[in-house]
Amino acid sequence: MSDGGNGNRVALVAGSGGLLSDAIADRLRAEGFSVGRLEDGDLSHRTQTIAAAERIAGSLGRVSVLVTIPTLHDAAPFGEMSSPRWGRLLEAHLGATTNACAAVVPAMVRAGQGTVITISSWLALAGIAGEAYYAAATGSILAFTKSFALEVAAKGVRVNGIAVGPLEPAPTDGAYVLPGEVADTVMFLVNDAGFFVGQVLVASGGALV
Amino acid sequence: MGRLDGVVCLVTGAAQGIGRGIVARMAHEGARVAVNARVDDDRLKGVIREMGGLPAPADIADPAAVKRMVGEVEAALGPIEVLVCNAARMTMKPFLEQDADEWWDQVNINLTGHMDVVAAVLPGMRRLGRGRIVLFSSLWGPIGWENASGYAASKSAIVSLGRALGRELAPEHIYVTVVAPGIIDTPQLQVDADDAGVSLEEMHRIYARNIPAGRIGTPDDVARTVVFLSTEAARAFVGQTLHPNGGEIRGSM
Repeated sequence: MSDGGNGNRVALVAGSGGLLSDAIADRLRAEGFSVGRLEDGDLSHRTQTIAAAERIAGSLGRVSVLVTIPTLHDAAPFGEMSSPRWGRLLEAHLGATTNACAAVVPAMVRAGQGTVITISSWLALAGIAGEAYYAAATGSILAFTKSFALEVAAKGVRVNGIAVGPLEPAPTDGAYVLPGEVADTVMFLVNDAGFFVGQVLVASGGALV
Repeated sequence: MGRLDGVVCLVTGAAQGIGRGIVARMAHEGARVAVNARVDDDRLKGVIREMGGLPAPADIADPAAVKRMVGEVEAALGPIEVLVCNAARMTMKPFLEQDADEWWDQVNINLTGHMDVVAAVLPGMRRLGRGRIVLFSSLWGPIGWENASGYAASKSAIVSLGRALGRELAPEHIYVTVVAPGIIDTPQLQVDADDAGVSLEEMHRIYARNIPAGRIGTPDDVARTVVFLSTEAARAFVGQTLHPNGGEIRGSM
């Protein structure tokens, strides 16, 4: 089905743990991709991320799809999170996302082809009391995605994002999104979104309209 | 197996440009497509000849014609499960120099006319117990554009209409979403070229320079987005606007 320029079907899912990364990796496999995984430990230092990505490309082939999926959640009222704790949260989101892009995208640029999908949280857009640190950490991914997309678009690499809604029924209005529905959105961005650049799709099942 | 096998779809404004591309892609995915155009002319006949489907001529600005057209489609194909509100009118003139009728003509087709189409199609979707409605905004809606105030106003309103109808109809399993295409290679670009006083080729070059993707879009770029939004795979989206625009604007809502 894909004629979106993904001749070599190797995908890399960056981020371990959580229903979302498994659902997306499974869907990519079901669509015929060989899927490599970068674990959270690989993503905390740039040189380690590069080495891990090179090992994966060495065994599976050139990566044409990168999906970054930060999973760490941490929350405290503003002013009540220690600097080291905030540092870990920002590293887990903006650090892991940018390390994965730095490790994988140069080869995409050399090949003139590839697509990157950054996963963030709807809280980046909606905001919620008690989640200022988390919203800031995940929100930084939106700004990075849009700017980075402009740097590599003309080189044949499409960078877009998905801001994912609550993954279980929300306490207030009940709207939520399922991991499989996020995976459907990933496949749209991989297969059918050739004119999407720097967009962040809000996949929230109606939690954020 | 196509992603829309046997699904009854109605596409407005489908004799040319993006609408024609949507009909082609939907037919390719197995849909039973009703093809609307303002008049039953050679262009509409050409689409039907090439891609099959049911001709469904009607002026979207005429509520009685819309009601009759939807009735005829339902009589021939059954209730409409997917509605694509693509028809649009754009005339470019400075706001103070544009005749009020000409200005409102754009709003009457792009916004009000499609509200009549939605209203006419909804009872059938309710009988089915499901449906998908794809409204059309435009890059020029959210950001506005000089000499296109009527068009921009109508297309910006569509974003809000999509949000409201999205909320209102989701509990009935009728999912409303919006597409806001950027610069797409269609006959409509001649209007832009005339307004700018340049040739069509020069207009293409000027636009491509300002698009991060380095090219203007194709009708199929938009059609692929519409097909996604027409299927259960887009269940995560309620009232959202998607922006196939090559990166020209990068909003999140």
